Amino acid sequence: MGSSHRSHFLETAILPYLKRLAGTPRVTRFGLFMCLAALMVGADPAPSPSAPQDPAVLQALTRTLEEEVRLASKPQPYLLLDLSRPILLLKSRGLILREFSILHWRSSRDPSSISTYRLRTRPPVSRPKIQPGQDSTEHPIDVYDMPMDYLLAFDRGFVVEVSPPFAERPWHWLKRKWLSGWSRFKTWIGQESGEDLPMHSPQVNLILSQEEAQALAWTVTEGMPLLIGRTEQP
Amino acid sequence: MTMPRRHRFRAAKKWTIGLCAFALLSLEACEGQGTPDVDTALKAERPAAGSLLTLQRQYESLKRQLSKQAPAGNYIVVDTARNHLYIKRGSEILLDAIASTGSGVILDKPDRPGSQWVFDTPRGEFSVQTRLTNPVWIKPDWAFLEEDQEIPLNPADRAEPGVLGDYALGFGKGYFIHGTLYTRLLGKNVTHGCIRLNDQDLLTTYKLAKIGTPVMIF
Repeated sequence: MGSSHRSHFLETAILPYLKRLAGTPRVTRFGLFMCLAALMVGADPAPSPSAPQDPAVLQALTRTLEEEVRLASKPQPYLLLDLSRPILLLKSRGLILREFSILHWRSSRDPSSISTYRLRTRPPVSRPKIQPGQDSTEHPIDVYDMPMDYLLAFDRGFVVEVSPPFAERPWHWLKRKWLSGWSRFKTWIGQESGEDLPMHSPQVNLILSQEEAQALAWTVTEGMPLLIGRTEQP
Repeated sequence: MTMPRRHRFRAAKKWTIGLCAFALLSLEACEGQGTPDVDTALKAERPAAGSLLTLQRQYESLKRQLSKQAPAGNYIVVDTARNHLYIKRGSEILLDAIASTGSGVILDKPDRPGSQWVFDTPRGEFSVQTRLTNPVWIKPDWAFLEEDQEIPLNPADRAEPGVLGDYALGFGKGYFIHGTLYTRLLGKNVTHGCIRLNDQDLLTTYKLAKIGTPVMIF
């Protein structure tokens, strides 16, 4: 709209309207000011330039955030697993308490699914029992007493397997691979024959270093939520 | 000279319309800001259509919702695997202290077969409930059993001053952050569930943590 058109529009439309509106100048100007002030307060800020541009990624991030806001509103730590990065986070109130680096992973679940599960039992650990007169500081348990390969059983039959990499425990890795393959074969046979077998084979396999695997086993507690979703790269 | 009646009526009408518009716009501005019901807030934020801009706005709004869940002031984080206590404010670390946490060992209760004490530091989120100076340890039954001593009948015989340091911060269920005489054992899992710090770190913790300060233990 050219400047001449703008001034014509101003003179023929806006100014007469403002003059009519200013019939009771003090009251109406105050009302207009309050309305404008409210508009400025209520206006949504524009999305930041760093907001993701891919709609599919944005959808996944948003759905994950929706679930996380619910978890973070309660006074409880929770796990957040993002296989796209890949990383496992221990969080509370939206704050990262600890990061667990995932070396490798495999998953048979739908990658677009955003889900929350609850841990049923911690990995077992042998607790020393002291007798009266015995010093409890002599044989404490610490993180290095925790297992480094284990299954985390969550509700709704969801299972996560945690195991060390081949380089750290080669024989153990081979044994676990064989058992895992055999379990998947049995599940496939059962599905082919139409049997309704319970889902005991893990849907997610995480390869963590020995230290990280033991720290994770130490950290998890019964009832701890696990949210599987998508997080933003820092 | 007073305003004619019809002019007063028109003024009142415009005044009312202006006030109503302000009230409606203010209500829209307040929606989604600090609403206590998370589910209601999430429903309010759900977009009607899936345009990229709408998704981005929803994403940013949810990020703001999540950031509001974090503690506004100082909070304590205890890593029982590494035996460290941190005091943080946002992402800033105000204190990184070596601590001692629970040993995890078991002691049977002699008067209740099948029942036992498990000396774990509790996990989860708590808050500072008490702040004590010159605390006196009131020894529980297990402390006497561990030393193979008779459990005293007189409660006054349970008091042992000077072993908990200069300060103690209670976070519930009888657990405290306190000092220790055994500083050589800091960094190890050796306590009966409480969290021990050296004198200097304990003083800093006492100064930075108030009643209600969140304590997150994992």
